[in-house]
Amino acid sequence: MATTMERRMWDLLLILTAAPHSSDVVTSALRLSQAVLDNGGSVRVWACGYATMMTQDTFGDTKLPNTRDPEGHYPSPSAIVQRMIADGQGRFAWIGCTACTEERGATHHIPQVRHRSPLRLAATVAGAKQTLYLGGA
Amino acid sequence: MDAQTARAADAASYFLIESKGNWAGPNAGTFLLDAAALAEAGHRVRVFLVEDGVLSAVGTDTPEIERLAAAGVEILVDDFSAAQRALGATKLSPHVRLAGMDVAAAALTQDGCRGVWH
Amino acid sequence: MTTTRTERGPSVLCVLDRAYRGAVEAQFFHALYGLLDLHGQFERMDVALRGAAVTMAVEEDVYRPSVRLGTMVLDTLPDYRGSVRDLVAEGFGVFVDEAAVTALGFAPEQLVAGTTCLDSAELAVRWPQYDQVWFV
Repeated sequence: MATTMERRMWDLLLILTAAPHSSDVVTSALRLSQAVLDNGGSVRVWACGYATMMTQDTFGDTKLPNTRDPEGHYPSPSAIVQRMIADGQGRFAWIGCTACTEERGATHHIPQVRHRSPLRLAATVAGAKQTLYLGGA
Repeated sequence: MDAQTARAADAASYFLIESKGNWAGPNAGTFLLDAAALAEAGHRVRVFLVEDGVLSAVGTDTPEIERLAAAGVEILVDDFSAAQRALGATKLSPHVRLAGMDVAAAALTQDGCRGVWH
Repeated sequence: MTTTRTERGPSVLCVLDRAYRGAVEAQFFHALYGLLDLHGQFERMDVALRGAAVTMAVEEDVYRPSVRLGTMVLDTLPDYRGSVRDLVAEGFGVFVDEAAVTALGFAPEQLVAGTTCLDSAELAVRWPQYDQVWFV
């Protein structure tokens, strides 16, 4: 007997290929993600190119010391993503493109990141009601 | 009816996000002309200016903004990006209005809305 | 025998014509911070803001360098105007391109106190006063 498997549909998929520290695109992507989450929706980020740097576990929890404010607390990019994943309770997820990860040598992702081959990009797009491609890799 | 004009039943709904605009380099603002062309062809188009894209909303005679407004396009300006760039201290086009990211989120999660990011 | 290097670097004009290169990920670590952090190594370091970067020198009181992500309020986003004030306070010459200021509808009086609103060509002819010019 044939069975059908129900597939989870995400409200928004952001294919983030622009590099951090190149423009405010990461900030916009995270702000938009949060707005969708606040609205009860779900968001997946597919990180390509240098966006794969965002979730490297080599950052640790905090950024390097601010020499002008040595006592200040500045969370690292990976700590911010980790916190959003935890707070999202299953409604916010982060995928690292395995090809871009290898190409950039950025292979040490935090454990919350799901690793996906670019061969699964179309399937991932099909699993979202809305996809935005934030180019720039 | 112009062959290029979408019939009401065929009209699509676009939410177009411009993060670059005229100040990001040559041809960076062409995306707004794409938006105008879609609107003039009968599609529903909303434009959300964000990051450096908000700079296209400055002044009262930006041709792209004027053309979008004439085509009935709703033009939104991200409030955070505008404040970051001190746009409260200058004059914005009367055809635009400030909006939060919540407006973009609501639009993009509407059924049938096609989102494009530039 | 140990030696101590006390030699200072050359005089440099740093031109910044691309602004807003990361907020959540950069926080304090943006271009102006880099200049503030490093200028003590150099004989002289001045800054010229051009294009969209001139907006970093416009005084305003709406922007809050803060964003909420999940349960975290990240209130450590870049404070560009504050950094421009720091540049002035720490002795940098800060030049702001007049053409961009006026094209964006600002008046020179709206710029951070101590900055100099300058015509682009006038800035270029000042290049020989510096050993090096860097587009940062």
